[in-house]
Amino acid sequence: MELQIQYQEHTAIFARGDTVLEALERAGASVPSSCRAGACQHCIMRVTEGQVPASSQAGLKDSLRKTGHFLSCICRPDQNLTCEPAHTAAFRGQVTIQEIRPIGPDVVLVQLSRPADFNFQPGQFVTVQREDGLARSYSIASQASQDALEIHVRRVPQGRLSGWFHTTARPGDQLWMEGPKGDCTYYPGQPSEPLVLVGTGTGIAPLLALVQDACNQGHQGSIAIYHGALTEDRFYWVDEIKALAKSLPNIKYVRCVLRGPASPEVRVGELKDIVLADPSDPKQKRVYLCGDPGLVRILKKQIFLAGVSMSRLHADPFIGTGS
Amino acid sequence: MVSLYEKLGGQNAVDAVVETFYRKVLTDERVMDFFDDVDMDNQIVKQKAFLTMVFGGPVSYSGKDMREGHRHLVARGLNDGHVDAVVELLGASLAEHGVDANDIEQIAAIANSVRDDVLNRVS
Repeated sequence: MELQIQYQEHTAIFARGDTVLEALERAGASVPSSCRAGACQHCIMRVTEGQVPASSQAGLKDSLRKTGHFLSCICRPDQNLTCEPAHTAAFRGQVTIQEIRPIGPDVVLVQLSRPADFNFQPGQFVTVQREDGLARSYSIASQASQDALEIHVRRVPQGRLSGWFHTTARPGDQLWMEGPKGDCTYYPGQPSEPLVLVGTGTGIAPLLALVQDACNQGHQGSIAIYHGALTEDRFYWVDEIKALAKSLPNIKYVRCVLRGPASPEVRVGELKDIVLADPSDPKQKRVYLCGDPGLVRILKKQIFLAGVSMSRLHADPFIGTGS
Repeated sequence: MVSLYEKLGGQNAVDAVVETFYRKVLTDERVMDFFDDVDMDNQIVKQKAFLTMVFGGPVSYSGKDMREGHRHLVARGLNDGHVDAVVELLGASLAEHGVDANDIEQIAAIANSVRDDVLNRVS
C-alpha cells in the first residue's frame, strides 16, 4: 500500500521501508541533513498528524519526544504522516488584551483571550508582538484548564514593550501571538522524582503553573521552589505560593535574597549557592531554571557538573526581566 | 563480525558515556575555555554524534564537516595539545564506564583519524 507524507507544500508518496527524509527529498523538499544515521539531529522535524515509530525518536530529549519531534533520516513509518519543520510554533494568530492589573512591585498581570485552537503545557512561553512589530516572549502563568491566558510582565528600565503594558495598553488592544515554546514543563511518568524549580523575578510564574500541573497529575516526589530576588520587597505572589506549599505535604518554598535580613522564611546569599546546596539526589532530580539569563546560564552548567543529566535540566533564560 | 559500536552497547552506551565525557571537558583546564560559550544542548548533541562515530557506529562525518565545525576554534588557538587532551579525557570517560584498554585504544585511533580535519591541516 502506498503511504503519503505531507510536509509544507510537498506531498511525498512512498513505500514501507523508505525513510521520511528519502521520500521527502525525492518529492523535491529541501530538508537539512548531515549524518543520515540518527545522530547529528540536523534533520529533526515534528509530526502533527499520525504517529512515528518510537525508534525514530532515539536519543532525543524528553521534551522533544513529547512534542512529536523525530529524526526523519531514521524514521520508517507505517502510516500516513503530516510533518513540519522542527520548532515551528503550533499557533500563530491574534489575541486580545482582556485585563491588566498590578500584582506586585513593577509587575502587572496581563490577561489575553485564548484562541480555541491554542494548546499549551504549563511552564511554556509565547512570543507576543505589538502592531508596530515590537516582540517579546513571556511565560504563561495560567493553567491549561483556564479560558484565558495570563502573563506576568515586570516593568524593565527602558523596556519598550513592558513599559507599554504598564502605561499605555488597554483592554481591547490586539496583539499577534506565536507559541507555545519551551521545555520547562512537567514530565509525567516518573511521579517520585524530586523536582527543583528556580526562578528569579517573574520567572516564578511559569514555575508555579508547572507545580500546580505536577500536583494535578499526581506527582509524589519532593518539590522545592527557590524564588530569588535582590531584596525582600521585590517578591510577589508570596501568599499564593505559601498557600500552595501548605496545601500539599511535599512542597518546600524557599525565598532567597542577595541583601537584607535573614528570617526563617528568607535566606540571604547567592541564589546559585543556595540552589547548589539543594539536598535531593542529583542522579534523580529534575531541575527547572527560569529568569535572569546570566544566572540561568551559570546554574545550568553548575547543576549539570553536579551530576544532573542534561535530559532532566530545563532552562528558560528571560531576557530583560530584572530581579 | 560484531562492530565495536554494537559490542559496547550501541546508542545506550553512547548515551551513558557522553555526559561523563562532557563534564570532563567542561572542567579540564587545558580545554574548558573552548567549551565555554556554547549552547549546552547543541553541544551534547554534537558530542553524541562524535562518540557514535568513534565507537564505529553508523555515522560518517565528512572531513569538511569537521573542518567547518572547528575552524573558529583553530582561529582561537586550538592545537595538537588540545586534541591530545580531549582524546585522553575520552579514554578516561570510557574507562569509567568499564570499557577495556584494547577497545579504548581502538576508539582513540578513530578519534585521532580526524585530527588533521579538526585542526584544518593538509594531511
